[in-house]
Order: sequence, then C-alpha cells, then structure tokens
Amino acid sequence: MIQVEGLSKKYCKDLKRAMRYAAEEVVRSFFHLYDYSNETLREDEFWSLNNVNFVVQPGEALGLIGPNGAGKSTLLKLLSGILEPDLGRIKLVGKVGSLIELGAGFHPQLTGRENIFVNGSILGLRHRDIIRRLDDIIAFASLEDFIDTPVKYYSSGMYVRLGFAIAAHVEPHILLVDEVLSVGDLAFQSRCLERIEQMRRQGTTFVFVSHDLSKISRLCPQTLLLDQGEIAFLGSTPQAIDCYRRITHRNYEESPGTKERTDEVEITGLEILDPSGQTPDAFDPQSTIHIRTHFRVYEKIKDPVFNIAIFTADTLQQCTGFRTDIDQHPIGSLSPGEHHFDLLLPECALLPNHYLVSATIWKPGCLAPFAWRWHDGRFQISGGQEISGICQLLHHWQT
Amino acid sequence: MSMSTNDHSSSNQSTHLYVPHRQRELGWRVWVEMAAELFQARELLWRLIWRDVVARYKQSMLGIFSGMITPLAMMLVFSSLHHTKVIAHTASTTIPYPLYAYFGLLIWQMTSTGLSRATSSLVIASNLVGKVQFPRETLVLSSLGVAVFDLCLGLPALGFLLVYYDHPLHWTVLVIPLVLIIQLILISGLGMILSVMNAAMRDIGHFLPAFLLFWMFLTPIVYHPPETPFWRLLSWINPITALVTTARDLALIGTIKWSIPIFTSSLISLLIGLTGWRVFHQLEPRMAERV
Repeated sequence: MIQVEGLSKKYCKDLKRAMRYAAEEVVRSFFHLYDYSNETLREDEFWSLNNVNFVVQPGEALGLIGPNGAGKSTLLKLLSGILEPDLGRIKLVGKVGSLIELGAGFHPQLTGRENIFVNGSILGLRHRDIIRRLDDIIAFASLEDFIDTPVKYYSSGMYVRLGFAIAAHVEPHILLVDEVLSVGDLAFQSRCLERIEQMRRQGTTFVFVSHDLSKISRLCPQTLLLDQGEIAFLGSTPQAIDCYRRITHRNYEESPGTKERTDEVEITGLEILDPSGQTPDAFDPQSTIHIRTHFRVYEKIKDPVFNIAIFTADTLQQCTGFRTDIDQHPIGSLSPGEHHFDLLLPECALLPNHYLVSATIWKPGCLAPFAWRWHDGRFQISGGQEISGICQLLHHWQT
Repeated sequence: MSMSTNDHSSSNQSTHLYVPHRQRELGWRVWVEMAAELFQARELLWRLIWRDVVARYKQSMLGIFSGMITPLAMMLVFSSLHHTKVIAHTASTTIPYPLYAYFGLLIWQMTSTGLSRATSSLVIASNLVGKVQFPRETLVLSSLGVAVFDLCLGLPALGFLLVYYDHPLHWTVLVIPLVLIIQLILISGLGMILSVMNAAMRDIGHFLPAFLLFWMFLTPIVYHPPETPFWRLLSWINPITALVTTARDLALIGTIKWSIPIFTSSLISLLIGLTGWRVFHQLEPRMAERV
C-alpha cells in the first residue's frame, strides 16, 4: 500500500545557490536547529511537486501521466526514497522495487553472469536468492549463449533485456516503473508487459509512468495526471487521458497556427459549425460537421482548388484530407471580395478526440498555393464509447 | 519457467515512512539506524568490492602483480637515493633501508589508493546515486576494498625482501591487522567527507593527488622518525605517523617505541571515522539531487 499526504518538493534552479542552500540545511539539521526553509520558497526555487495526495491500495495499479517536466520522475524518486520530501509524508507498506534504471551497477568488463550478482545485490536481493533465480533470469532474458561474455560486448537490446530480467525477479510488493520500457524491440516490450501483468495478477502494487497512453489504459484502471507539479486529475484512466489531451490542447491554443497569403488571396478565418450554424464546444460522434473557410480575394482568380486537411491535435497525425479537384468540384472564377467555402461532413465517422483543421487554396494544378492556414481550426468530438483509433467505419457483424 | 510464490499477505511486510528532516526527528537513534542499515547491506558491500577487484584484474597485463609495482618501484628509487647518500641515513634502527622503505610504502599505497578511490566513488557511480535506493556508504567503503587487496598482493615482495636481508619477522606481526583496521577507519571517515565534497565541488578530486603527495612526505615513510623534539612533535600530530611506525615496528622489531602517540592517533582516527560517517549519512538525502 502507498499513502501520500501533502507531498511537496522544491528545486533550486541556480547551481551555486543550490549548493549554498544545501550547506545551510545540512548545518542546521546537523546541529538540530529548526529549519524554516522548507515551507517558503527562497530565491531561484520552485515547487517541482506541490501538495500531492493519493492512496494506492494493495494490488492496485496507478498510472502516472503528464507533460514533460510535470514532476513524474520526481514523484517516483520520492516514492523510492532516493529524494526526501520537503513537506508532507509518504508511507509505503511492503518491499519496494523500482525499475527506474535498468542495469544499475553493471561493470562493462564483467560477464553477464557476474553482473547479475552485482545488479541483484544493488536491487536488494540476497546472495542465496540470486543463486536460486539465476537460471530463471538468464532464461527470461534469452541470453543463454552470451551470459559469459563481458557486458561491454552486449547490444543495447541485450543490455536492457538483462537489466529487466534481473529487476523482474526481485519480486517486490510495490513496483515503481519509470519510462524504461520504451526502449527495446517489440519482442522485449511484449515480454515486459506480460511479466508486469503476471505480477499484477499476483497482487503487486504498481505505479506506472509512461508517455504511451495505450500501455497505461491497458495496465492501469486508475491514473494520476500531473501538470506542473500539481494533481490535475486523479481517477479513472479514460477521463485522465481526456484531461491530459485537453491540457495539451490548451498549450496548442497558446501558439497560433501559421498562415501565408499572396497578393491575390488571403484566408481570413476558419469556422467549425454544426448544421444550425453554431460553434459547439464539442460535437457528438456521428454528427454533421460544417467546416467553413472565409477568404478574401484581392485580384480575380480562376479555377482555384480548395483543400481541407484534418489532424489529431495531440499527435498531429493527418486523419484525412479533401480537395475539390479530386472530388471533381470545379470552382470557376472568383471576383474580388469576401467569400467563403463550406465542407460538409455528414455523420462524421471520426472517433472522440481533439482535432485541428488546415485550409489551403491552391492555384490551378495544385502546384503552388494562393494562401493557407495550418492547424488553425479546432474542434472536439466527445462522447460515446472510448475506442482506440481514428475513425469508426461503417460495419456490421455476421455470425 | 517457474516463479517462486510471492507472499503478499501483510504479515511480513516492512513499512517505510518518508518525512522531511527524518534524521533530526530520530535524534541519537540515528546511530542505531546507521549501523543497522550498514549491517543489512553487508552483502552488497562485499559484492561491490568483489566487482571492483575482479574488474581491475580482468583486463590487466600484469594481473595479480600490479599491486606490487608501485611500492616496489618507489622503493627502488628511494633505495638508490639512499645508497648514494642523497637521503641521509639517521640510523636509529637495525632495519635495512629497502625493507624499511618498502614496508612503509606498501601501507602508504593502501592509504593513498583508498582515499583517491573513495573521493571519486560517488561521482563515478552518479547514475546509481541518482536512480537506485541503497545505502551509499557501501560505495565509499567498497572503494577501500581494492586498496586492501593491493596491500595483500604486495606481501610476497615483502616476504622476498625479508628473506634476502635475512631479517626476522616477530610474532607481534599478528597485531598488525588491528593497526591497519584503525587506519582504515581513519581513511573511510576522511573518504566519506571528501567524497561528498567532491560530488558538490569537483575540484577537490583534482587537489587530492597533490595533497596526498604532501602528506606522504610529512609521514616518516621513506625516512626515519625525526629525533629533534620540534619535528618529532609535528610528525606525531599526523595520525598516520604513529600507525605506520607502529605497524613497522611490530613486524620488524617486535616492540613499540612510543605508546602515547599510538593511543592518541587511534583516538583521532576513531573520531574522524565516526564523524565522517555521521556527516555522510546526514547528507545522504541530498546526494541524489546534487551529484
């Protein structure tokens, strides 16, 4: 079980000042003088974690997600006891293991077998335990042929396999996993996940940090979302992921999309509307979406091509695109003035997510553009079942 | 593939509690905790020493002989200087000079290697310090392991010299391990303080070789302990003087000449050892951030 109350940790940005503060703290605590420095921020200091509270019951798995710099690694290090909290308290019941650094203590000149003893000792295994599990570890890492060669000749994949094999056999009650599982090939990743799931079934408590949201949804029913050191959300994983997307989206909102114009044409705006002409906060799945592009023509143009592309907001993956020349929808000539064109998406099959829209007006032949606006329109589809993927295709079952 | 059963019942589970200023809250019981922690980590300590020793001798040309090269070479240099009267022989001892010098140099090499390795131990293992939880004292103490091993490897040459000069080895040589242990306590205390300082201010590691050279000449390793009162007092302030001289006398002469200095030196060594350990433990929570 893990119990965290009011946990806060601060860091000093400036190196020289950090050393001075550290010296002060040491002298004060050595002579048992009261240290007020914990509660307030001195110059150049900032809270990397601020008032974090949560409980993980035995056997539960908690995911830990958040943007870079949110404090996830710091929290993990505090839980494993490497860092000391500045405020608050942490209580852990059970033997704690951490997968923060694979292959800790490995010496390149020593063989794999010898390094198993070193790393196992560092992770807390007794000598007799290491001997007992030695064959299992070697088998898990599939390194039977290379276990007696020096580790400096190992490929990075073998290195990581051995490191994980040892760590997986420590059998702690609580396991803290940092982003180590993102390295390694597909076979390794699936083996890691299998092993973690096996440990979960045996009742190990987990705290799992990852940027891979699909792994988190698969392994953790509950997730903690950290943003800039504070808890942004604590609860069911799908909601946490949605909140995470919204935060990322908000960061996009602060940086405007790029645009370009020529003397003839300028795109003045993008609107995403529902059939009644309103801009809703979010669209329901399978509802009709109108993408309206406003543009201004300065000199008469002939046969332009309109192009709309839709991207997912978090990964900027292009979902789909539409062009009037491919759809054989000729435009003809446009005289100077304000115009707009609409793209209608009846019963839009895109799955719940945040999306960005880019609009381009091309010269005839689609080789050079008149004007464009990238990632400028935004809309959100939400509701319905949480399904992975980009779109829901028309389908029916036949059994 | 078999997996041993993992008993997750709450019967035999340890509880960890992390609060700010934990050590201040414990008071004097910190010592108990420190000792318990170190005792629990004894296997790790042994394993780290083993790792360093094996790694050192695996990829070495001379193998087990590399331990005696430095003191042997230095002994030859100083012996030739002595023979050509560059270093004056203020003879107050029956020990032949090469034997005298080699014995002292062997012990000094243990001190010097141990201290250098201890000072850089935290910096070398910085990724361990920042990422894995284990008592950091093991890093500093294990770095002394190679130094002691080198001492043992230099003994055959000592044996050879004893035979060559037909010098008897007195039974009091059995007390020497005690003296060496006291010396190791001194070095570990210093090493712990220096290792932390070096982690924060990296130039300590650069000054250390010069400091060690200076210290070596301050100690009567290659010369006899000075007779004049002023210099004698100065050399006894150096705690290593008494330890080295006593070790040498115990092995090669059989009696201890000055009993008070050895007593005070042992006390100083113990004090430095314990203080260094305490300071180190105090700074442990901060290490992961600063190293």
